[in-house]
Amino acid sequence: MGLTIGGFGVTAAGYEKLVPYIAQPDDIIPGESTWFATSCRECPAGCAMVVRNRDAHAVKCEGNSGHPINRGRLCSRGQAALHGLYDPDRIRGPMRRKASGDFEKVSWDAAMNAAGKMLAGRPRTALITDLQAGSLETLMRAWLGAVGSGTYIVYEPIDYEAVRAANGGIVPRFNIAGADHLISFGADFLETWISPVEYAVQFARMRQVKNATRARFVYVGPRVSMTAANADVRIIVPPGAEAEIARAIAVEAGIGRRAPGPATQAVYKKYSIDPAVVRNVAAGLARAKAPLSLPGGDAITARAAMALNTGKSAALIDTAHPHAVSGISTYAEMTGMISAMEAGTVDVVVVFGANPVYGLPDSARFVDALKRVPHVISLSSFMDETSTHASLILPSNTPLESWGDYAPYPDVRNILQPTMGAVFDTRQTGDILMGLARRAGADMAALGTTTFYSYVRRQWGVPATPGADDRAWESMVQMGGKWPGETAVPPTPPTGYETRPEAGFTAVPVVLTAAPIPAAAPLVRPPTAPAPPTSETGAGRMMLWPYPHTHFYDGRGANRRWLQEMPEPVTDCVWGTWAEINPVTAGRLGVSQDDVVEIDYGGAHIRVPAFVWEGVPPDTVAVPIGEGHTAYGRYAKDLGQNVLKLAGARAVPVNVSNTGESIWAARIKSDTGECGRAIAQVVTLGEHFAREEPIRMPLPSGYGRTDFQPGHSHVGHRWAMVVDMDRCIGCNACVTACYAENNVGVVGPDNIRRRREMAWVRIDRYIDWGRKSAPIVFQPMLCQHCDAAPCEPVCPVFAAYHTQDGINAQIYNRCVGTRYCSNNCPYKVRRFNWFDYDWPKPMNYQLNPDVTVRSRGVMEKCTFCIQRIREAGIVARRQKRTIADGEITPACAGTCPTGAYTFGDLKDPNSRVSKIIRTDPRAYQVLGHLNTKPAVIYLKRIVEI
Amino acid sequence: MGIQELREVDEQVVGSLGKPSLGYLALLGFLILLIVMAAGAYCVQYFVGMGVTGLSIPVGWAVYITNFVFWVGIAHSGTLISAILYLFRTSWRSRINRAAEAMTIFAILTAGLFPLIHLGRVWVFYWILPYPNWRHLWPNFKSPLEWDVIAVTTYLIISLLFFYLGLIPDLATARDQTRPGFRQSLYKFMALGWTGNYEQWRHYARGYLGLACLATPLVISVHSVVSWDFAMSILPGWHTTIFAPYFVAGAIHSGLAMVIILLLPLRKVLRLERLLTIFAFEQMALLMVLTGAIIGYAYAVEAFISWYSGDIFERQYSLWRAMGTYSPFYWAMVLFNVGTPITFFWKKLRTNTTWLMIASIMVLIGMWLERFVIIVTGLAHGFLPSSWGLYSPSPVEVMITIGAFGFFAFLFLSFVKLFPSIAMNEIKEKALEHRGKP
Repeated sequence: MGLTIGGFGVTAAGYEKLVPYIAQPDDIIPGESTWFATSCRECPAGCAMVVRNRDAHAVKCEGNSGHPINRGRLCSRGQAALHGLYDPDRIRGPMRRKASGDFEKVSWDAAMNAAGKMLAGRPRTALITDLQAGSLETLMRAWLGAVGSGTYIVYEPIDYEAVRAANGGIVPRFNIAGADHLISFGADFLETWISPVEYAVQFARMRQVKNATRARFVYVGPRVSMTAANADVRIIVPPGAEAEIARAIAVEAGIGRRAPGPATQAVYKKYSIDPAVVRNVAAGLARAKAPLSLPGGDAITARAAMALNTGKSAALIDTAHPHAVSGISTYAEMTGMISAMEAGTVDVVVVFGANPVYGLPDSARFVDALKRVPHVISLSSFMDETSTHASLILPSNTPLESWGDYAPYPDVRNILQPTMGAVFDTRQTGDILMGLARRAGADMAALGTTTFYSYVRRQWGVPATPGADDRAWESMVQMGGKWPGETAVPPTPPTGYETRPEAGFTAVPVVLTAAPIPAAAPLVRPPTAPAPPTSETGAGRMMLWPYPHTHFYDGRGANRRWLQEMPEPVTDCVWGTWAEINPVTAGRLGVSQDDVVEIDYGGAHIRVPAFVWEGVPPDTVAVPIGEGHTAYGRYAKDLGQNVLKLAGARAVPVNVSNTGESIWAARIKSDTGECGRAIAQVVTLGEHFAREEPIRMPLPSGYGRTDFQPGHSHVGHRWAMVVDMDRCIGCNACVTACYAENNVGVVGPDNIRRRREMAWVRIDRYIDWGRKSAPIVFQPMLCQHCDAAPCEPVCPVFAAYHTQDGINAQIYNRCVGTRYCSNNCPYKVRRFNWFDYDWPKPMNYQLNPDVTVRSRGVMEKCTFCIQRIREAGIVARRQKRTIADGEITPACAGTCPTGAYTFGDLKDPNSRVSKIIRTDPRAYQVLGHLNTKPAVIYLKRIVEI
Repeated sequence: MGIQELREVDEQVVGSLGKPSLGYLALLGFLILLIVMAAGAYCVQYFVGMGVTGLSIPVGWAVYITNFVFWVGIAHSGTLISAILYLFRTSWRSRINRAAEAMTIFAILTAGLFPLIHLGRVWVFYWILPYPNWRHLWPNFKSPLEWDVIAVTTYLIISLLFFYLGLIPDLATARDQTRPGFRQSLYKFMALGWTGNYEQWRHYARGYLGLACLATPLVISVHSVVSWDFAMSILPGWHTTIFAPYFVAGAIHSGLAMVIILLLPLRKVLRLERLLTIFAFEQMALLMVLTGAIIGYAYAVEAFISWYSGDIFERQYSLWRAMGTYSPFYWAMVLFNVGTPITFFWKKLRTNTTWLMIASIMVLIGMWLERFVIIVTGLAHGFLPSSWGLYSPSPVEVMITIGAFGFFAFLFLSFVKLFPSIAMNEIKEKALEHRGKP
């Protein structure tokens, strides 16, 4: 790998050999990290990332702090982009289908020639890709025109058609931060909806307490999702009924002409809603200065939601800068193409990034149509379901290995640059397309260039080849792109961003073109008027609510094993699919937890274990999208069920029956309640915030007469953390970031069932349905770095050890594995290596070289990212200064979209943590009465009564 | 008892060392099979990882530590019988003390395996031992596990010395009574030139008394220290001041049961009915009534204190222990440990060898369950409800546990055929004392 870094574009087929440098590349200093700004392509949101490259391997993704979308934050999926890059089941080189049906490896030359033959003579070509809002899309459109007559389909299973239908064909940019009253109609904007990190950042800003008041958040939807769990008021109704609630709210709030009447009362009665709740929401809406309603759900719901956005909301809805998802092809366009394929009027299908075989419902008959197409060329990086039907596979680089650009909004344009050399024998998509055009004899002269890199440069208005002065381009690449109001300084981290030196590209300047936004399209999906889910239609008749999984989105995340290991935030389920059913309905069906139910819709069916809880209304079954792959690598294949095959991502009436079987589903937590133990504490806004218990500071000052031993005299620093539970939305981004930063082992479903997950930081969630305004409270739980740590004295060999700066360290090579420390830890944050956990090649490239990989038989735990602390300490010492506040950011704190974590030095009275602990009356210590003097101070969640 | 009778003692006891029967060998072979099975299971654990057990993060200790505490407990009554009862000049002690002492040694050896078996990295187990080393790395003397190491090792050494010292005169007898051969050389070597002259007896008596004085506090200390493994932690259900006396009583309870279980068949098989009179068993049964009552009191106090403390963690824990997943084990333990000894109030029952055997086995099961319930429920139901978890043993753990019983039985069975299993010298001494009286 090392050798390839100097001249990018030379692929690294011999990646398995470790070859020392003969000539040291200028930009690689052994042991020092280089950061490359690029754009996340794990979902259509387009967050900007900086990727840490260490000794020629990308090892960690962070958010780009200067970027207007994600403000330096990243979600779990962004963190797990590395697992796409290093997926051991990625396609390692070009492949051709043999007569026997199996694939055989071929050389690039042979594969390109074969593809060139398929594309010669202007065949009728269809190009199906995922959303590409940038140079690649313009190139693809140009390519399609040059190679043959064809259709270009942007296929995304989550297509936001309803939002577009309600907004004149576009998906506007919502300004949540500016709202003072927010209602979400089935839009899970904190997890999956359009741009989750952007909205989570905004949500945290919106929810800040100002003048003893704060913006209210109301959720109306079919499931207590993670987003709903963060709301003050939840109105949980079956899918399709949100619109009725929206209309009721409008009526009660006096929006529109109608007045409350029997029709409204009937709605309340039908869904067993307390009218006072709706009136309360309506009153809040009427009072609000800047209310905002988010249009999730189906088209009717979206329209009803948008109807609540009156003139007061206008400033919060930016239709001038629609989101890139507006460019997703409609379902009708897709079905139109399927008909064409069935009719035999398509000669070649080229697929890239999209996975319609997985995402389309069985009723769309896409696979049958695909089989009628003579030639199917896949440019995908992964052997997904669609690629398995290809006759030829020309594997692309993943976005982390590619040049490119992506514009989530017309004015926010991200640049993608390779963060490392290609891991496998793959090529950049743009280059493959250009090569194919050449071999097919198509005229691509209009592009004026032969490499995608120069094409991208020209799209950005810089010479296609770097001249003597390439600073304009370099600074843009360093920044990660171009957006309004950008700062002149490159984003943090401060180690300096470098662009990869490029050579051998030809220069042809081109005028910059913006990503095209298609004209407003009418609602073309056949409006499915769902039958009201009542028991009249039979015992098993229910509404199906297929929702995008927080971590898998539309299924593309399923091959990232970090994401499989991350619990779905509210159910805590991992490694599989489940069906959420209300206890009332479950009782009627005779179904209890983990009993397998069959969900039928129009001939297609799935069998999934039930997750019985109050988070869904009666007669509704909620199933996460994302699992049930029949291909897509070892971590995704044959796991769970694919709900998309029933009816896509639409809510439809289904038939649910009890199969009588039962399985042991993998879930993280054993218990959901808090049992009155006051662990995740809450306060109301009106309450006078008084500390019930004193904070026993993890400093000598925290020790008193009751202490048997004096405190530690910390040298220099005493690290501590403040966790604001009011900001924590429960998204698990911190957990994934911790896995990535600290080489935490992935244990798989069997070990999770046996409670052997290795997460150093976890999100505990406690459910109390009696607390109406916040039935679910999330509590990040990590090592509390206690000053009087129960784990330390019990270790017979001093492996549990208190460092001079207050960290509760674990000396792995001293540990003999008695597990006494874990037994004695009241927070149960220590993790034992039950086995040697594996990182199949090339996943081992992701391992952080600054952190030990633990072997079996030793205990491990959160270190406050001690490697970052030590690095900062060394830098500060070299510069003859002390570490400044904010200079160290642990991985969890760095990625948290809402900024729930604050890290700092308690010995510095002016540090942020010291100030918060001193001044914020919400501060408390979990299990503080045990006198462990934890250094992680929690701030209570603010709730309405 | 005349000279004739004294000779009879020698002949009976030494005679029991004769050629082993086929049944004995078959049993020995079966026990070896159990040991091999456990060793195989352990190899799997050693090479694959601790994950082959049923352990998890809330429940980091379970069957292995249960076995450790159980076997250390078994080891207890040996020293109690030899040392404390010796100091009190209890008359029935001499009939059973040899077997009880042997049991002690073997039980400690069995117990000592488990801290090693439960270690994640057994290959560096010696880091727990305090030995001088180049890096000046000493173990953590604050850790109760370190106290365990010291307490159990001390106990083993003292018990071994005590056992051996008491064995010397009998070894000499055996030496004198056996024909030349391997056995005689062994006895000759181990008898350390014992001739039975006055000077030797004087030294012997002093030494024996001295060791008895040294061993007596150990009976209290060892199991107290073992109980501190739990009591020194902060877990609800573990952090209890009553643990030391409670564990000591429990240890003696289980130890007596084990002595009865071992001696009843021994007496039958080796035809020692005349020496091992029912009186000794009766006395042990009565002692079990006392220990059972102490344990019952401890159970009651534990439950009461957890309620009286008003501590929500303790209260919920106690309720869960009595009503939750492991409640059958909890109630079985109460019934077996406290209920069974109550039957010994009736002379008919406590002199009935069949019932004694059944009751002792029940007490043994009860005492094993007690340790299991304390360890597993305490861990499974800790402070954070998010971290509650259940435990069930894996096949590897079951095999190793069974193998430990096989190991213990193997050692004991080998012992009774190799060494005099009744303290001949003491019985003779008692007999002569008795004759001397008017």
